[in-house]
Order: sequence, then C-alpha cells, then structure tokens
Amino acid sequence: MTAVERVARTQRVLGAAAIVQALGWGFAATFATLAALSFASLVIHELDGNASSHLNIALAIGSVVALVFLWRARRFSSRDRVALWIEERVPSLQYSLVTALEHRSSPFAPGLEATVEKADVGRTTLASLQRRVSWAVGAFLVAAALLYVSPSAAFGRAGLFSKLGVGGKSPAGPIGSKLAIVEARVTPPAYTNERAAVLDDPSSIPALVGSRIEITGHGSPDGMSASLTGSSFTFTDAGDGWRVSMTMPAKPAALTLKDRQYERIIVLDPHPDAPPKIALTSPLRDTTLRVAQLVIKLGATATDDIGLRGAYFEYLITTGSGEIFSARTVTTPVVNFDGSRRGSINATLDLGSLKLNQGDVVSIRAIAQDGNTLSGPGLATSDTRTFRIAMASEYDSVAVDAAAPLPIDTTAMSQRMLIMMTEKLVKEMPKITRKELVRRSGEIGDLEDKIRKRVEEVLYQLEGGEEGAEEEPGTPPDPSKTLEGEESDEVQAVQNPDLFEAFNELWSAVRSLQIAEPDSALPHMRIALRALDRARLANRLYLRGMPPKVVVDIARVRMSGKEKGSANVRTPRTPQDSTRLSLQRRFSDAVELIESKPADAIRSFTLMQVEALSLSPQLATALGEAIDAFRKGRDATLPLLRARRALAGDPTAAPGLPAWSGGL
Amino acid sequence: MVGWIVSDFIFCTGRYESGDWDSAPTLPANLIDSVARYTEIGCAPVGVIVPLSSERILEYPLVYLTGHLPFRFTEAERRNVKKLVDRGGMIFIDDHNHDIGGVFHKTALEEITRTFSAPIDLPNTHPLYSSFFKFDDGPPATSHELNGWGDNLVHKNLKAVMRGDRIAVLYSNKDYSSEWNYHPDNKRFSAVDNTRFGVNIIVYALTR
Repeated sequence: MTAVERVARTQRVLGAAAIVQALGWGFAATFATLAALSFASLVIHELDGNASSHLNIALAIGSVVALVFLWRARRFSSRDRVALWIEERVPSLQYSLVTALEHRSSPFAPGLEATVEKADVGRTTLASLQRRVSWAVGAFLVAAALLYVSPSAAFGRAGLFSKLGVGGKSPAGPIGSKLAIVEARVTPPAYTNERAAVLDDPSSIPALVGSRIEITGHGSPDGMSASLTGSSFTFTDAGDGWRVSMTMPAKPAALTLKDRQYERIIVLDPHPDAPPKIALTSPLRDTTLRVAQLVIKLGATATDDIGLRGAYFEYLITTGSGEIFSARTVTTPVVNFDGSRRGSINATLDLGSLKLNQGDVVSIRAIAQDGNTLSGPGLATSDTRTFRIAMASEYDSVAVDAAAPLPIDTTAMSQRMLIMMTEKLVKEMPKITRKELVRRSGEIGDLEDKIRKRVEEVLYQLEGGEEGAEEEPGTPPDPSKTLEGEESDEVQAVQNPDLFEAFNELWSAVRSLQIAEPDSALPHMRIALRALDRARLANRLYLRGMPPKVVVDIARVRMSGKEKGSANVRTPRTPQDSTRLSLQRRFSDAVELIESKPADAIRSFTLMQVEALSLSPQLATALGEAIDAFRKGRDATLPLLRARRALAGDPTAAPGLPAWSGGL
Repeated sequence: MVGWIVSDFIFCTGRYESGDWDSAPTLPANLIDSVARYTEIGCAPVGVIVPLSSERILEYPLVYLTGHLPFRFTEAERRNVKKLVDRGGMIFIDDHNHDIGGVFHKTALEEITRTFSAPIDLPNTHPLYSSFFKFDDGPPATSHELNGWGDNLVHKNLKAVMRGDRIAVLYSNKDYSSEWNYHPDNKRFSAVDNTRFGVNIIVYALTR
C-alpha cells in the first residue's frame, strides 16, 4: 500500500467517524431536548399537549448540533490535511508521509514509502477516533435513556417520572393522555336483535336509546374519571387497559372522560326508538246509516323502524246526546307480528251485533304496538272512522222517504204546461172566432193567476209576509219584515230574487191573457218559467249549527263612552329561537379560540354538538366533522362554514336595493 | 323607523270536522266582555269562527276548541294547528264533558299527543296563573266540578304541551266551556266573576 493509498483510507475512516459523531451528538441533543420539555411540562402546563411543537424544537436543536460537528470535520476533505493529521499523531514518521505525498516522483520516494510503511497508521487512527466516537455514542445512549424515563410519549408508555404529574399513583400507562386512543363498543337493546358495533376513536357515539356503551383504552384506570349529566362512572381494569360502561341516555349528552390533567369529551347521540305507524286502509270514510245493519271490512297497515309486536282494532261506541254520553270500548284480539317491521291486519265488524240505537256512534280505529321492552311499548293509533246511526228526525240528511214535490217544483211544471197551451192557442188564433179566443185566453189567464198566487205565497213565506196579503206587481217585499223578530240582515240572507222576478212576469202574463192577447203573454210566461227553474234549482240554506251572535258593546263594558281605549305597552315576546341565537354566539366565540386555545375550541364545539343534535341535525353533523378534522390535524374550514350556514340559515334575498346603495 | 301594525285581539273559536265544536256558543262573547272589562287590550266586539282546515287560523294568536264528542283532526287541521303552534300561537282545548272517562277527554289527549307531544301537568305556580289575575291555588274550580257533575273530581292541574318555557297547547278537563257559557249581561248576578281565569289565558297568549 502506498502512502497515498494509506492517506485515502484514513480520510474515509475519518469522514465516517465524523458522520457517526455528528449523528450521535445530534440525536443525543434531540432526545435530551424532548426529555427536558416533557419534564418541564409537568411544572408548566402550558407546555403540555403540544407534542408536535416539542418534536420540532428538539429536531432543530439536534440538527444544529449535528451540523456543528460536521462543520468542524470539514478539514478532512483535504488529503494534505489528513496527512498532517496522521503526522501529528505518529511523530515517528518525521514528515515522511507529507513529503511522500508532495514528491511522489522524487528519487527519495522509495525511502519515504518504506518509512511510512513501518508506521501503523491504521491502528493509530482507530485509537484516536475511538474516544471521540465513544463520547458521541455515550451521549446518545444517555439521552435516549433520559427520554425513556421522561413523561414523554416517545416510547409509547409512561416514563418512570410520569407519575410526578399524578402524585406517583400511576406506575404504568401511556405517557401523556390515556384518552388519546379509545374504542367504543355499542350493544343495542336486546329487543332489537341487532349486533354490537365497534367504533374506533369516536368523537360522537350514535346509538339507540338504552344501548349499552363500553369505552376502552390503554393504561391503568387509576386517576381516571367519567361524568355524564351529573352522574359519574367507575373505571375498571380491563386487563390490557381501562374500561367504562354506561347506558345511552334519552337525550343528547356530553360524556366527559378525564385522565389526570387530560380531558376528552365524547358526544352521545341517542336515536330514540320511533313509535310505530298505522294507517286504516278500510273503511275509507265516515258513514251515516239509518239502520244498524252493515258488515264492515276493516283493514290497517302498520310499520315500525325496529320491529312490531302486534296490532288490533278498537271500537268506541258512544251513546247519548246533549251533555250525557256513555261509551263502551270493544277490542279485537291482538295480531302478533313477531318483530317484523311491517304488517297488516284485517277484520270484519257486523254493526248488527253491537245492538246500536238511533244516535249511537261507532268510532273505529287501529292500534299498533312496537317491540320496545325498554321504554315502551310504543303505541300508534290510526285515524278514526265513525259510523253514525241517524236519528228519526234527521231525514233531511239521510233522505230515505220520498217527499212531496215542493211548491216551486209544481208551479214550474204547471207553468210549462200553460206555455204549451198558450202556444197552441196562438197557432189557432187565425182559425177561431174572437169570442172563442177570449174564452180560451181567459181560462189560461185564470190558471196563470193561480200560479202567480202560489208563487206569491212561497215568496211571502220566505220573506216573512202574511199569507193572502195582496201586493201590487213591482212592489218588492219589505226587507225590514222579519222572521219572528230576527234582525234584518238575516232576512237578506234568504231573499229570493228569482221568485220575485217570476212573480212580476206572471203578473204581466195574466194581464195579457185576460185581455185575449196570448201572443204578447208568451214572452212573460217564458221568462217566468226560467226564473222559477232557477229558484227551484237554487241551493238550499241550512242554518243548523249557527251559534247565536252576541255583540259585546266594548265601550259600554269599559264605561268609556265613545272614546277608544288604548292598550298598554306590552313586553315583547321572547324570540322563538333563542337557543339558536345562543349557539350562534357560542360558535363565534369558539372560532375565535381556534388559534389561541385549540383544545378549548374543540371542547366548545363538542358541547355545542350535543345541543345541536336535537335542534339542528345538520349543524350537529357539521360540528362533528369539524371536531374530527381538528383531532386529525386536517383543515376544518369547510365543516365550520357548513356549521355557520346551518346556524345562520340560508341567505334570503330582499327586493330592492339596500340602503347603502343610495337607491330607492 | 317602521312601527308595528297592531290589530285588536279577536277571539277565535276553531271549527273542526269531528265532534260538536260549537257546544259553547256564548263563551267567546263572555270572555271578550271580560277582556274589555278588566284590561286595556284592544279587542273586537265579536269573535270569529274559523275552520281549522283553513290557513286563516294562523292569523289568530289564541284558538279555542271545545266539545263533547270524539275529537280528532283531519290531516289539514293537524297540519294547520302544528303550524300555528310553531309560529308562536296557542291553542286552548277544554273538555266540555268534565269527565276523564269521557270520549272527548280520551280522544283529545290522544290527538294532542299524536299531533304535538304528550301533555304534562302544568304546575300550579306557572306564570299562567299570575299573568293578570293571581290564582294562588292554580286553576279555579268550576261549579261542575264542585257539584259532582261528570267524573265527580276536582282536577288539580291543567295539562299543557310546552314549547320551551311557553305553553303551546293548554288542555283543561275542568269544563270551563260550561262555566263560562252564558250571556255576558248575566255576569252582574255573580258575586265573583268566574271568567277571570279566561282573561289570564288570553293575556298569557298575547304576551308570551
């Protein structure tokens, strides 16, 4: 091996040693810094819970230290300086190595090479580096040991000194929070026949009300506590960690888990077992019967979100009138659905078997039960259908006996016949004598006059006039005439202009017929017939059920004469959506905390999520996504925007320009 | 500044398809008389009767319902009363039978539960009992209760469906419909006006 080769080999060894030394001291500095920060966080709580910044600081310090060592080793990049480094440690070389490098073609070179060859350069080099590398490795090991026993979570377990933070009661468990990683096992109530589900590291636990929730994590249960709406829970040792169990409450709540100074809030999102639904599919409408002889087919369809237990029909039979009623209830046997989510029932009801009397009412409905054995069973009732047995006095509504034709109907028929007779007379006028014309026209005129008198009677009955009182044609009935003292506005309601028109036209027709001018009577007769038809077909008025009108004389009651009273200024109503307004304020406050106190912000968002579960599921979902994003270090901007939108509602457009635009 | 347009209070009786909604025809006038007599609230001299199936029902802050017969809402009626309550209105339902075994009571409670939620017993210290007149013992007993009519019970509490701290549906089993169903001119024959609690209901509905 020549001198050059020896120097080159030493240069490589020195370079490797410098790298090892730099790495050793660099890692030692990093570990020592981490350990120091974790010890410091026991005293200064502001330093706690910020592992990433601790790591960044330690890496920076470690890098600086490593770079310093590498900078100091830069001289080994020069072969001459490596040769001088060797000469310094092997004085016996007498600069023969340096000379051999500089004068490789000199005639003294073989002698120089021989001198160099005699020296054990490699051994000397290793001996020189041994101490230096040993210090670096030693520092690395010491720093690693220090980090190992510190409260830092770097080794995934509690350090020997981690107990300092909790009074020395927890010899084992994760360094830092034992709540960092949790698992929730949700076991639905037995009646649902559903399997248990496992949720990894949840920020909220959705489950059916009454479900068994078991939360587990790593570490000893010592020093841990859990609270839920005032109740506290006991942690148990699960062998490889801690465990706490509870039942899903009926309302959304925040479960607070605490481990020494660490805290974690998990939202319990209860899903209530919805009551079943049932719809009566048959009969479809209410019915009034004259006789209680009918067989009714009954049908109903029931559904439930989890499972139905059964359904049945119920008949409520009401007897009585006025304020005295009695009722009896009959139910059909329960049809069992064995937990299916959908089912239907059918039955037949013979009204004849219920021994109903006039005026009795049978109300039919269907009732379904779900299989909830925990807080139920949930009940559902369908709409009610009624079957009423009519009273004998109610023939106008159940119209079963043929009534005699109304006076207006008979007059219309008679009028039509008289028009035909008059038309025939008009046709025969050229063939008959004047005497015959006067006789036949007079007869028709007498018949027409009878119709006029009947119309007059009907008109006066409606208008409240006296029978037989004669009125001149064109004289309208006096609207001030009343029915047994009722007010004049009631009269207006029953006034019949069609009959009045017919009455006047009949007058004109009678006059023409009695002076043997049947052709001029015909137009009046036809107008009268059309008016009678309109009157006959007009809707009838039912005044039943109209309560007496009592007008309170406010001024008299207040003894204030004609002056108007003025109302007191009343306290404005509480805004209907005060919860939402409160959430808006809290949301803004929490957003402000995101930069300065992220843990407090997450806590605030979590508690808001609990309230939002019942108020606005959309808001609760957005907040849940934001909390997950925070926990996992992702960007939470979008979910927070959605949450703000859910709180504020959709923007609304107002017509016109805003005031600041200077527009109208 | 735009001022509020304040209209007079109009007593509204709700007309529903089932049952006898008009069984207490003079009660509205009697309560209007009492409101005019004791308060300065501007009120219309006559009440109105509005079908529950009509959206016009939403124009009235208080809707009064009563009856003896099985009580149920049609779909349109149910939709409108829910909307009324959601908008801050109040519904006062009175059992004209005063009978907890009666069909109105049974069916009305079912219908209220189905439409809103199960009513709770209203505490006798609720602001309703001091909204105008003060009733230290809760709802005043009616003569029908005291003379044993109906179920022969004096009911200690009214029932209510709450929206927050506000009464949304007030349910009475005390038969105020019989107690207050007389012409207001006859009020002068009473030593103590028995409609005073009606004033509390109206004032509460208008101010909460």
